[in-house]
Amino acid sequence: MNSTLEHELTHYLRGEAARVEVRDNLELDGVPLIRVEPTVTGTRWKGPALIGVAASVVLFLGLVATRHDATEVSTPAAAQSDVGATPVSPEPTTPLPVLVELPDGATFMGLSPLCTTAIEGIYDCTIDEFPVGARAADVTGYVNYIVDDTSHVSGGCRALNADGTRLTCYLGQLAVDQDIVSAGFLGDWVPGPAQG
Amino acid sequence: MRNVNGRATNVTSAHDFTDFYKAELDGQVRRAALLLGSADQANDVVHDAFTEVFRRWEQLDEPGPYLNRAVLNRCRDVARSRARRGRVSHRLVRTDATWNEEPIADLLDGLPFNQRAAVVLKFYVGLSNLEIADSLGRPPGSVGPWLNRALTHIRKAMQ
Repeated sequence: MNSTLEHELTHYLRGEAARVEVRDNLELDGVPLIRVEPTVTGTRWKGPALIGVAASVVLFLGLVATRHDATEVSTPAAAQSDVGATPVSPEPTTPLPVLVELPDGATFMGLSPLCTTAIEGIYDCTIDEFPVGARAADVTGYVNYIVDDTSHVSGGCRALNADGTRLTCYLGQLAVDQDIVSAGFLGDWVPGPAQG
Repeated sequence: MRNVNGRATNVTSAHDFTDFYKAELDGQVRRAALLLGSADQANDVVHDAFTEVFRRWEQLDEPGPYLNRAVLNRCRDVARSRARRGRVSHRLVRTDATWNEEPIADLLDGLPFNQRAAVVLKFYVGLSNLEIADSLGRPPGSVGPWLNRALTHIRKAMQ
């Protein structure tokens, strides 16, 4: 083995890897599932050329403060990829949406959707598969109620795509406002999962 | 709580997956980019593989090796697809290449996928030949010849 060639290959590959821009959001059927704080390399440094000393200090302190939340790397490759990378850009920390279930153990047709929420009472959710009994060629716009863990109607969901794997769910009065459930039905006891 | 597929969908599980995603993302994308010579395709391939892992999360005892295999298989598929369409340059976008690095990029672009993968896994990841064979799902004896051919090709071209 030619050690010089081996060294050059390793150097080249590490340099190339360090320049790769990593897309940091995972989507499922178009719905954002996870977003992590970007791992920024030299090519992503797009800050203005004339940043004053004071601003640099503030940004540096911000980086130090947020560094412990940065994307962790477990593979040797990634650990090596820092070789040759220029200092990272201290971009604002993006809040990490956390996947949650609907409140109070609520279920949609017997399923527990995984959701993110940005507005109180409104959840962007996904399910693996729409319940077979209710499946149609296109269930976009299909609505049904949700029940909490005591089998009381606590809101409702609307399907956003044809296969019904993306839902927007509304809690309480918001579901009434969306014409998913009636005001009188909200809070009713409904044993068993909702039927399509 | 379980859904129709019998898969538990609880908050703890979701958090576990999030941690897994955060830990694996960076290294997977960088490695895939070296295998493919394209950061865009690497991001697509890796996120597609993560989606597959997410769907099977509760059934996977060891998601890491499963993800590795899923990414490598997808990289191989992309490489085959390119080969069918005719060779097209998918060089990583460079703005600061030095004179002596460009030939390496050209030469890696010209290697068959298995040879390129062997080079990347050997000299970037630092795997042994046995580990490379395991990662690629190929017989252990095939890695040495791939590396020899790749290095011979590169060495001759750089002389």
